[in-house]
Amino acid sequence: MTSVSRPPANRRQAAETGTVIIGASHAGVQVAASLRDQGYRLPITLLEAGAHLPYQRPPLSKTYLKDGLDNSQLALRGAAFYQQKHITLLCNHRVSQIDRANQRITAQHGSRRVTFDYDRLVIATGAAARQLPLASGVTGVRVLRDMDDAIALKADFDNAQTVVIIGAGFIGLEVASTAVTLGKQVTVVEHGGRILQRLLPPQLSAFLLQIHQHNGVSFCFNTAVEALAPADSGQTHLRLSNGQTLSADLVVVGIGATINDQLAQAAGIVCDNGILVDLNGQTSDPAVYACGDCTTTIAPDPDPTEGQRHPPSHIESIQNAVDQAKTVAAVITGQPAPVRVAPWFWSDQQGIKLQMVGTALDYDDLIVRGELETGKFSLLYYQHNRLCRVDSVNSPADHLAARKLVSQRYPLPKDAAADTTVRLKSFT
Amino acid sequence: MSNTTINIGFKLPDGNIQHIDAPLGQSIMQAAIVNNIDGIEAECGGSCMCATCHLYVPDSLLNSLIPANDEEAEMLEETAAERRPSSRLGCQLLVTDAMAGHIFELPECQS
Repeated sequence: MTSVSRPPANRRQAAETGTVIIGASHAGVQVAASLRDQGYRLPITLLEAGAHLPYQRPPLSKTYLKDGLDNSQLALRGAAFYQQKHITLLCNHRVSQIDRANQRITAQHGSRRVTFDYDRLVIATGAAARQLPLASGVTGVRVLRDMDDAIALKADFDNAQTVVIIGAGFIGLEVASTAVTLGKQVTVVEHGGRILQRLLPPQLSAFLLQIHQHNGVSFCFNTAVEALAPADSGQTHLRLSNGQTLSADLVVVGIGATINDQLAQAAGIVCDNGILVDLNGQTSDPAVYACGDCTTTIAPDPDPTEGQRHPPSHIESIQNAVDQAKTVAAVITGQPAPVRVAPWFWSDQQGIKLQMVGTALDYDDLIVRGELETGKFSLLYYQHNRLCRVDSVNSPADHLAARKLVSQRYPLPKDAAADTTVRLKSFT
Repeated sequence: MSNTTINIGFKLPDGNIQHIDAPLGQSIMQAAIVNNIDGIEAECGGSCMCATCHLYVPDSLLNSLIPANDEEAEMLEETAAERRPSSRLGCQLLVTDAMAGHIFELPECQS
């Protein structure tokens, strides 16, 4: 794979170089798999900075943290997959430079520097857990995003009795849920006024909060961490802006992600809160694509139903990563791209199955389907009498049907929306 | 492999049958994914969120399996391919000794 002796880019044939993918993430692995599914015959090289065979991330905050899982239970594909499909997977290869003029990647492999030439490059570097500057260098403070984070967290988690979680987002609440299930004492500190403030409407935040509290999780809202320091006891002391002090065996910081677009930026690829891509996953360089959590999509096409332009969208979700990856593979192989669908997400907390499709929170009407008290319901959000988002709680049938309806911005009659005897599937 | 795995088969939509060694206790979905069985999509990675690991259980096994819970039953209503009495989600079925030598049929499509 080293290509030091290769001729310069303008004399190279695509047949020699093929596609290099940076990041063996959900997105990166899917690009490789879809390229082969679509008959791509040139070399595919998948470069991964980490040491692990590509893995599923969703279990890291749930079953992995609770039970520990071995690699085969987390693997995205079997090791044989990469061999059978002639995909050269190289772990422990941290890319340090993209040389676009020569279409050449430089990676660090241990102490060695290795280069790879590309005909097409796909960047799938994802995002990293945002760190709390206050916590820099303090032991007993963990984040959770990738497998190495999870391994470090798990080791501390097993021995911790008191856990403080900073940030009431999905990761924080899922870790809180796992911890309280195991009998740990859990406090969540959130600087906003409610859980999942940027992502959910107030009704749903309130519903979930009540269940977390019922199961024993304590919350401090409108509260910042002002100081954080190790104590002689081995615990971490936290001083909060509300005057309270807390001690914890383990502190987990869940305050969002920072986008890994540094490599692209350094190479002069246009970035703005992520690597900017069009609907084909194309970056500002025609030979370079990007997909997954490292991207922000600019869609120049007017929305056919509304005549409005889509704002730039940065979506962190597995479905979006996988769908963008399939699109990039289709574009590279000259196949029709899959139809775009509304983004969907899920979270497991306190035994609640929360499934969301669509991201709009600027709705003009909201229909409750079912009753909140029963713990099984969906919220259907409308813009101009068309569905723009559906959040389902323990209602997977609603969710699966809603994925189609929201993608079409379907004008679902509101009386049917509220009537649980009418299946949403009957409108798909 | 040792007695920690059993052999099971998958009948693909094209009629071909692929056999794999599936670890006891692992989900059928994960065993299929790790062994590169096409026809199990598993979009959500086994979180019972997507219904794209739909399969048909052989009749000979139907009575010995723990029945689908409400959640799985609800998702089975929404599978892309035909739902049959033998329909299950692979992520919710753990590999047991009783499955040794049995063939699971995969549907025409998952999504």
